[in-house]
Formats: sequence, structure tokens, C-alpha cells
Amino acid sequence: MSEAIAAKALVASVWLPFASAALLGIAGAGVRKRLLGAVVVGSIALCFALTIAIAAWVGVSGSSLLASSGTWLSFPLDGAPVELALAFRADPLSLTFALIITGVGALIHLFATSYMHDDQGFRRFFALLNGFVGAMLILVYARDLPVLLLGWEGVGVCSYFLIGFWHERKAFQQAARKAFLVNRVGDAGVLLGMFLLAAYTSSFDLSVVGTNAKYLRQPVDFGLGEGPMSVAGLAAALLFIGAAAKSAQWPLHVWLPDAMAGPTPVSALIHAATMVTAGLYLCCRVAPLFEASPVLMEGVMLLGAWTGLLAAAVACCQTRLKRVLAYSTVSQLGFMFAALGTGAYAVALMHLLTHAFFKAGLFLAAGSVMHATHNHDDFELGSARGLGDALPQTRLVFAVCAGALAGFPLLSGFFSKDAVLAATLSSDTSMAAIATAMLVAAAAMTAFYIARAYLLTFAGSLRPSWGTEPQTPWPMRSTLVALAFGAAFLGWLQPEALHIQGSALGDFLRRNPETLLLASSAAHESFWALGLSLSALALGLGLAWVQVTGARATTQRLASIGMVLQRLQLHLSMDCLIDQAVVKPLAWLRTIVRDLDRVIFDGLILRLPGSLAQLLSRGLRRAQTGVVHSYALLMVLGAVAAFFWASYPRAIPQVRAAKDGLRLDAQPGAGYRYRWDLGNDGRFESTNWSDSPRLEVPVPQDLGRAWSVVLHLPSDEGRPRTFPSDGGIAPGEHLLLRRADFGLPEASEPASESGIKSLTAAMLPIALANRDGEMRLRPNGHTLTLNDRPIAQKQVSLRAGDRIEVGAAALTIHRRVVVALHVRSALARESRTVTAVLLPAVSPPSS
Amino acid sequence: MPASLSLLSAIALPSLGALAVVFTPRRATAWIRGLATLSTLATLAVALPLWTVEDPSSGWLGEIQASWLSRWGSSIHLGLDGFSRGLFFLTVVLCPLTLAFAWLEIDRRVKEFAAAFLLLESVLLASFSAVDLLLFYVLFEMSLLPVVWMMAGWGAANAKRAGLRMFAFTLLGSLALLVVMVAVAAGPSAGFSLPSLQGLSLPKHLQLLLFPLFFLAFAIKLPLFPFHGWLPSAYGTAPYAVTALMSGLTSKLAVYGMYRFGLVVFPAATYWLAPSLAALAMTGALWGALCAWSQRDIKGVFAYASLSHLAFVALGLLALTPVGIAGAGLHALGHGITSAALFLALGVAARRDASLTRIDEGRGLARTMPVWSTVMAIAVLSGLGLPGTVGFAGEFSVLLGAFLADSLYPWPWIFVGLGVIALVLAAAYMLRVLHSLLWGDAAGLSPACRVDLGWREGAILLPLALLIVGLGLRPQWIMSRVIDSASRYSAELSQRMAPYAAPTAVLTELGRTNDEGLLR
Repeated sequence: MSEAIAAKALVASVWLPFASAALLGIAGAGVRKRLLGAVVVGSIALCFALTIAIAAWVGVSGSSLLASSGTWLSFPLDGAPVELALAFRADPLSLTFALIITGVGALIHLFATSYMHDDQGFRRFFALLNGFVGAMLILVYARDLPVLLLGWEGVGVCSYFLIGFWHERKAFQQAARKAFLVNRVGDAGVLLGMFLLAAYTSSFDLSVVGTNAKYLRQPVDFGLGEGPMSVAGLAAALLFIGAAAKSAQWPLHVWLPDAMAGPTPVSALIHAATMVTAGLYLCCRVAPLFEASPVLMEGVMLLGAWTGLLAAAVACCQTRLKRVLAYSTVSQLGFMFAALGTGAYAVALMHLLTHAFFKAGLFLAAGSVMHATHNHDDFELGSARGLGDALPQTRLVFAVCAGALAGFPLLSGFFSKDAVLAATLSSDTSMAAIATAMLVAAAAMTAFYIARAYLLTFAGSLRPSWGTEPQTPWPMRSTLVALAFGAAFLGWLQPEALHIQGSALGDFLRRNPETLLLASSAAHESFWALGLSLSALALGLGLAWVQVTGARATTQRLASIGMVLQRLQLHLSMDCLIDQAVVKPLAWLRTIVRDLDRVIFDGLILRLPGSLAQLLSRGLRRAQTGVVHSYALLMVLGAVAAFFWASYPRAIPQVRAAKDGLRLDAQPGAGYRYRWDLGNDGRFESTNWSDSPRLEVPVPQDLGRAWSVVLHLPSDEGRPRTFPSDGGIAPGEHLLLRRADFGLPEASEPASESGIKSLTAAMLPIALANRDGEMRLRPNGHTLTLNDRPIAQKQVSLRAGDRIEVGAAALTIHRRVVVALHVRSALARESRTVTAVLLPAVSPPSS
Repeated sequence: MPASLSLLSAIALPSLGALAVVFTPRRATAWIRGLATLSTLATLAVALPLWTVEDPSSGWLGEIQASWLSRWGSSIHLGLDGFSRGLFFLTVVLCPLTLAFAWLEIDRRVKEFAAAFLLLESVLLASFSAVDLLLFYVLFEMSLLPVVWMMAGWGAANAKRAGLRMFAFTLLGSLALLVVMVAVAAGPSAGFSLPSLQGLSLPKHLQLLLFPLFFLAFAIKLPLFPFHGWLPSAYGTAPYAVTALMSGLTSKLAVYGMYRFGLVVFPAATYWLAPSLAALAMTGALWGALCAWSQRDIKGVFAYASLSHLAFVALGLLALTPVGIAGAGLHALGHGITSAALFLALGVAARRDASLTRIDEGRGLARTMPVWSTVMAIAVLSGLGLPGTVGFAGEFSVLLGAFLADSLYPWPWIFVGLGVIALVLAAAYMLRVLHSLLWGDAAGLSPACRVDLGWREGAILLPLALLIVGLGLRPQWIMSRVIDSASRYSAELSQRMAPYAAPTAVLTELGRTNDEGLLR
């Protein structure tokens, strides 16, 4: 397969789901659902096939594949052209995700054709689900960050419409809105992070983030002084806000449990297997930025572990099957982020892969239960026990997937969860022990809640509380079996298997060999991790068994603990807090603003002119009282005003450089007199106070011992910058201009430690020093021209007006003269205002 | 067809149409409607060649100059650049659609309405291509009358009062503008043509005095916070077609005036005041968003949303970077299309049941009117700036341009942060509209609300939806035409600001160092 064909396949695989969605939109109501189902499942299956072909091509050729379907926006940024294209890059990392998206996606589409068969929104459902797959592919293939955001918000909006799919229910509407708004907060973070990266690198390309990251370690400049973080760290933190919202990390996880309002296939595909992992994808993609900030990495690890623990605790006290699974998803995402925070990307991705299968399997098995009990809303735990007898296959699938989730030995989750624990155990950061402890506790709780859910649904003997015979159609059955198969055996695909030359994650992981080592060796050799996870499993399973089937007293004791947890859950799940801390104040603010708007702009501004005139006329009429006292009062008030005018004189000096001197001026004030002081040294230009502020004076040579430099860059577009902006270069001080200030690329880094000095010199094209009021330039070995002549000496003296050319940039040298204006009022009160001017006057570069 | 002929005929055709309408018998309403619609469509047809022509590297596209008031150094000077070409096209595209919608809701005094509408289109097209300040001023004033007339004459019961209020506000701005015109005429300038205005370097204090007056006129017209007092009542009471026209097109007069004359004539004032004005704009973006969020009427939501979005356009202009200015052009266009789509789609619903425009628990129109609901959802998503819609393309460019703007230094962080917060709030108020109209139980709907789009309604709304999505996925179609003139504009403006900028330009990257070793 040639590159051109592979590129076409890539573009086709991205747009195919959209085409199928559009087809569903256009198709008339008369088209049979079976045909429509074949189209949607076929389109995603075809996507999967194309993705496999692309992965094979990338594997064989060993390079990533780039395909563009047109420019989105292009514009100049700092003089350099930037092109943002709907361009897709298939590399091992994005292909790993794409394979999960299309593979699991095709299975879930197949399941949904049965599950949603009788729903009146059949076409709308599949149009949105197909659109989701397309947007997700844009997300993982995007070359440029804004295009990633296109997919990012695209999946968000599909998720929003699917959560609110049954929009007659008010609670579902609210769940959808909540999901969109929380994610919108995250999107704001992504947008800001993107701008920050663009401001410092003039690039939006995700593939060069790694190359750029090492130049971004300087503290970020907020314009109000340097911030405490490095540019890379801040950008990573901003992007992480987006990732945390998308991947439901505390405290932005609040939307995910409610998102289970959507049909179960949606919960399985979007809110368990794919969309919620987008945050993880973004973090892996910009990993070099995170690595530039160890504090942030540690924070991500702790936040992940905390989310894992918290969500597992809340899952323990849920009474509905899908909500248990929802909190379980939050918890497992926490595991992934904990691994990410230790730098073990392979482990995070491995857990993502196994989780996609076992969690999708769990959700669909739950969906199968709900389908059988004719309740598409949710399954109340314990409402119909003993379903295992009626749904043996579903029970088996659920058992396998639950085992994988709990970390039952030899099932897939066992390997990937152990790897996560091993990763945090062997991490050498100070907080690693805390993170590990939290994760082990979370693992025990995981075993507890999933065993409890299983027992309350499938165990026991059948209690036929529902009328018709439950049955599971073949598309649902086959999907369940396929997912269970993956949940059981994917664990054998060890992280290092992913590393085999040319296979899925090769390139990405090769960048971090130590990570990989950690992932593969630690998972086997760390008996600690194995021991911890097995004892957590045993503890959790035991507790669940005791709670569900044990003696009454024990059960009650556990139940009372459950009640406490239930209470706690409201607080733990953050809904209350966010409601109190964010939603209520905002609602309050908007009411205030609305009322203010009405009062000020509707009332005041409109009525003000009229009422003011009325008031004024009434006041003036009153003023003509003929009462001497009030006239006297007015007189006093006027006198006070005049006194203040005379007591606090102020004038703003205006200093312009004239042909051979300075032209001084100020706004005249009544009764003021003026005196100028060039250099602000107490020696006045005129001995007497003058009535006019205007003065033209030559500049004495001994004045202006400070200097300033004005830099003209071609990219400035005629808007020069002055160095330094404050007091000038005073005698004894000097100024260093670095390469970056001229828009030149950074000098290449020295090969050895000893090269540091030469590096500093190479980065400094120019040094300027003020030697007792005389300006000297040292070109540091760079080729410069001074007033159009090349500089030969090592050090040159400069005069005002000199022009130095550095490549396409130019510097002009100015004397900096300080001028003070003294003002004196009629009461002989004085004030002084100081301003500075550059000589000779700045003019744009002649080129 | 040469570009100038194309331009001239596009401007003249609606007026000719108006003339023809005037001489058509009052009773023949079908003829009048047909004639008016036809002339807007013909305008679109003759203007189309202008879209494909390359932008000339110097001078104006389709330049026309004729003598007029030469005593005051003014002339009829028309021409387009990349930026104004966008606004010109927005006009020729939106006019047929809004007029077609007007025929769905207006059935009395059709003749007067048609004449006023067509006259307004001519005036708008001429304004967007005017490159002489006096000419622009006259056209700017002329545009007010047909709008107020259409609003008050065909609007809701209290539209007359709202019209009067809008008239009073705008008149205040016009007076301010008049003061500036007199000051310029009395000054040492050679006239009102753009080159002579650019050559006119007013002293700084005069610029600082005149620029706020100049700005006031446009801040009222746009409107910008806190000069939006006329907005809610005017948008709320006008017929839907007229609201779409006001929000989509006449507000852009202010954008154009600011772009073409405001910043260029007063470079020093621009340099000094840009951060303050941007602060005003972004306060307004938040203010509008919060007000929109708390409205109980959907027309009110859209009105305040307009206030919030147009503040972004102002921010883009004040950023003075090529991306910011081009983004302002893109967002002006995107906002025009989006807000026309929002108001017209709402109008379609209001035709069925006027009570639908109140914010409610949920009417469930998604079940009964799926096609209309899709269009409404697309417009709403563009209104909240979803990537893939034209609303996002503009906001993205504006915010990027502002983030990199030296003119706003050291505040870009804060302005862009406020803008991003406004975008989050936009999701809140726009989804509220979506939930109120589309979602919920459809049981209580009247029979009229069970009929989806008719062919005429479809012919109006579907092109708008297509434009939103098409331009959202390919904003480059607009950007490629705007960016060159925006870059030139930005470079020229910086050059003209340089003399004022130099003594205080700040750059803190470099400081002094005490490391003597390097200099020995």
C-alpha cells in the first residue's frame, strides 16, 4: 500500500462516520431499521478495518502518516505563517486509541441496533453515535491543537445530546446540561493553554510540542512580572484542566455519574470506553510539557489516586447498577491518571485498553439485564434477584468483566491494575507512598462494590417479578461475548508486547525507555504490588459476600456503615459543594446584574437627563432665595475651591525633541508659573519663574549620562521597543541583549558541560555598557554593522543616533534626558513633575 | 464585468428596486413582494463576481470616485478591501433571506416596508464600501431612519416607544460624531478622504479628546456596554426580520466605522486608550452573558448574547494584530450569520405559537419539528462558539489575536480570560434556550407546532445553517480574503502609532545585569 493510498484511507476513515450520520439524517422514515442498522454498523466496522490497515502501514513503514483534508485557518503569527489544517496524523499513540474507538465502537453499535430497535429516536440515536465516533477520530488524529479541540468539543456535544436522549425526563436534561457545562470549563482551560503555547512557540502543531517543551522552561511572563511557574508547566496545567473535565477527575468528575441518564450503549461507548479517555490521550500527547514540571506530575498522580479512592468509596454505597458502574469508571480513570503521573504512560494506556473492554462489557451486560427486565432507565440493585438463572450468558459475561475489574488473577484487569500499583510503588517521588495506599484501598473497595453488584443482581434463585420471558437477541449476545473475551485475555498482551518493533505503541514508548522498563519488570517482580492487590481483592470479596449473604446481624452492621457512607456520599461526590460554591453565587450574580442592567440602563440613563434638568432647574430656583446666609455659604465654598486650585498646582509636561534641542510645553493653568529643570538636578534653565510653560532649549552635552536603546525588529511592524523601559542605562550599568530579542533562533546547545560559557556568549550577540556616561558596545564575535559599516573592533564607543544592524533587526542608541517641570501657583505652592525623553527622537527604521 | 461596475450595480440595484416598488400599485402586494425579493436576489447575483476577484495589493477593489462636496474636500469615494468585502457579502447574502422572512410575518403596508428595506440595503452596501469619512457619516445617519421606521411601523405594540428610545440613543452618538466631523473640517486637513485623514496628525491631546466622541457613536450603534440601553427593547419589539437585520447588519456599521476611520485617524488615542476600551468591551462581554442568562424571554437572551458577542469583535479590532483584526472581520461575519439564524429560527417558532418565546421547562419541539430543531440547534451551538461552527472560528481568532496583542500589554491574560469565561457562560444561556424550545414533553403543544418547516421557511433557514457549518469547517474561505488587508492595516497602524508609542514602550524581558565578567 503506497503512502498516498494510506493517507486516503486515513481521511476516509475519519469522515466515513459523518457520512453515515448524514445518511441517517436524510433517510426517510420509510427506510427499514434493519437496513439502517446495517449501514451504521457497517460504516464503523469499515472504519475499524481501515484503521487496522493504516496501523499495519504505519507499523511496516515505521513512520507516522500525515493526511490533510484542507486548510481550516491560516494566518501570520509573529511574522511567520501558521497553517491550521484539518490534518490527521496517524502515529502509534493515536492509532492505539483509534483501534479501541472503532473496534469497541463497532461492537457497541452492533449491540445498540437491538437495544434501541424499538425506540422512536432510532435514527437520531445512531446519527449522534456515528457522529461521536467521527469526532473522536478527529480528536485522536488531529495534528493541530485547534483541530483537536474541534473533535474534543464535537464528542462533548454528541455526548450532551445522547445523555439527554430521552429528553422528556427533566433529570436527564439536567444531567446533559451539567455534562456540557463542566466540560466547557475544561475546554476553556484547553483554549488558554493553546494560546499560551502559541504565544511562546508560534505553533499549534502537537507533534512539535516535545521539541518545543525544552525551550519553555523559563518562568511565564504575565506582563505584571514573572509568574511562579514555567511556561511549560502552566501550559500543561491549563491543558490538564481540560483533561480532568473530560476524564472526570476530581473535582470535575461530577458530570459523569449523572451522564448515565443516556441509553446504556452510550454509557458503554462514550462514558466508559472512549470519550472519557480523551483526557488521558491529551496528557500523553503533550507529555513533555508535563515532564518539564515535576510538581505537576506529582500533583496528577495524587489527584488520580484521590479520584480513584473517592469514587470507589461512593460506588460502594450506590443502589443502582449503572451508577455503581459510573463511579467505578471515575475510579478506574483515577488509576490511569495515577499511572500517568508517575510517568508510566504504557501502564496507563494498558489499563485504558483493558478497562475499555471490561467496563464496556459490564455496561452492556447491565444493559442486557435492563433490556430483559424492560426497564431502560436503570436497574435497582436487589429489585429482581436471581437473574443469573434467566440470563446465563449475561451472568457469565458480567462475572468475567467484574473479575477483570476487581483484579481477579489472570484476567486482564489483574495485570493492568498490578502494573499501576507497581508504577506508583516504584516511583521515587515523596508522595508515591500515599498514592499507593490510596490506590490499594480503592482496589479493595472495587472488589467489594462489584462483587456486591454481582451478587445482588445474579445470585440467588429466580424471583420472577417481571412478566414476559427475558431474552437476549443475537447482536447483543455476540457483542457481550466478544467484549468478555477481550476482558479475559487482553491482559496477556503485556506492556512490552505493545513495544514490539512496529507494533502499536513503539515510537511513543521508545521515547521513554525507562518508563517501559518500569512497566514490564515491575509488574512481575514487585511481589509487594501483587501481594497488596491480591489481599485487597480478598478483603473486598469477603466483605461483599458477608454483606449480601451473611448473618442478619453482620449484614445490618454493614448496612449501617452503608448508611453512613450514603450520607457521606452526598458530600464526597462534590455535587453539594459545587452547587454552593459555584452555581448559587453565579445565579445570585446574574440576578444582580440583570437588576442592575434594568435599573441603570433602563431607568437611570433614560430618565437621568430629564430628571437631572428638572433637578437642576429646581435647585437653581431654590438658590435664588435672597437669604444672605446661603449666599455667604456659596461664597465660602467657592473660595475653598479656588484655594485648593491654588494650593495643589499640577501640570503635565510635554517634551518633544526638536532639531537641535528640546521643545518643552505644558498645559497652562490659571495663575500658574513655570520653571524647567533639565536633568532634574536642581539647576534651572531660567532663574525666574515664567508665565508661559513653553521653552526651546539646546541640550547641554554634560546632560543625559543615562542611555536607552531602541530595538527595531522586522516583525515589530514599525513598533520599536525601548530597553530598558525604566530609568535607562545609568553610568556603571549595562544591558545584555539575547538572540531571542532579535527574533533569532536559539543557538544550538553545547555538547558538553564545559560549553556553558560559550553558550552564554553565543546567546548574547550584544552587550552594551555605560562607562561613566559613555556608551560602549561589545559585539561578542557577531557580525554587526554600525552606521552601515561593519564593526571590526572588539569594543566600540557609541554616540547618540548611532544605528547598529543585527541581521534584519536594528538598534538605535539614544541619550536619555530627564526633564522636571516645576509649577508654582498664585499662593506660591509648588509641585514638580518629572518626565524622560530620548535623544535623538525615535524614528521608524529606514528599511 | 469590471469590479467597479459590479460594486456600483450592487449598490444601485436595491434602490432601483425601491423605485420600482414605489410605482407599483398598492394593491398588487404579490408583485411588490416578488419585485423586492427579486431585486435583493439580483443584487446578490451581481455582487458574486466581487467575491472571486483577487484583492488588489494597493488601492481599493472596485474603486469608484466622483466629485461631491469638493468644497469640504469630500467626494463620493467607494471601494472594498478584504475586511469590508466580508461585510459587503454578509449584506447581500442576509438581505434576501431576511426579506423573504419578512414576507412571512408582514402583511400590512407591504409597499412601504419593501421600499424602506430596499433603501436600507443600498445604504448599507454603500456604507460598507465608503472610504470617505463625510460620505460614511451621511450614510451612517441615513441608515437609521429606515430601521426605526420598519421597527416602529411593523413591530409589537410598544415598538414605537422602543424606536424612539433607539433613535434618541443613536442621535446622541451622531451628535458626538458631528462634533468630530466639524473639528476635522475646521482643522488643517485637506479633506475627508482617507489619505488626507491619515496624513492629518492631530496633536495627542486633541486626539484623546476627539477619539472618545468618535468611539461613542459606534459604541452606541454596535452596541457596547454601557451604551446598550436601547438594545433589549428595540430587539424585543421589532419584527423578527428587522431584529435579524439590526443585529446581523446595522450593528456592523459600527464595526466598519471603527475599522476604517476610528483607529487610523486617531493613532495616538488608539495607542493610549486601547486597553481601557478593551476592558470596557470585555466587561460588556461578561455583562451581556450574565444578562442573557437571566432573561425570561428568548428574544432577550439573543439580544444580550449579541451584546456579548459584538464585544469580541471590538476586542479583535483593539488588539491591532493581524490575527485579531482578521478575527474581528471573521467574527463580525459569523455573528451576522449566526444571529440572523437565531432570530429567524425563533421567528419561525413564534409564527406557530407566540408564547414559545418565553423561557420554559421545555416544549419538546424536537419531537414535532425535527428539521427546524436541527437548524435551531446548529444556530445555538454556533452562538455558544462550538468548534466546527462559524461562531468558534471568529472567537478563536479574536482571542488569539488579543492574547498576542502588544497594544493590550500587559493585560491580554485578563482580557482573554474574561473572554473565555464569557464563552463558558454562553454555553449556559444558549443551552437554556435549547432546553426550553427543543427538549421536554411535546404533549402540550398546539397543533400548529406539529408542522415542521414549510418550503419557504426551509429555503430561508437551511442556507443559514449550511453557512454556519460550512464556514465553521472552512473559515479559511473568509480568512484568506481578510488576512492580507488585516496584515497591511495592522502594519500601517503600528507605523503610525510608533511616534507616540516609543517613549513608553515596555519590555521587561531584559533587565540590567550585575555580571561584569561578560564585558571585560
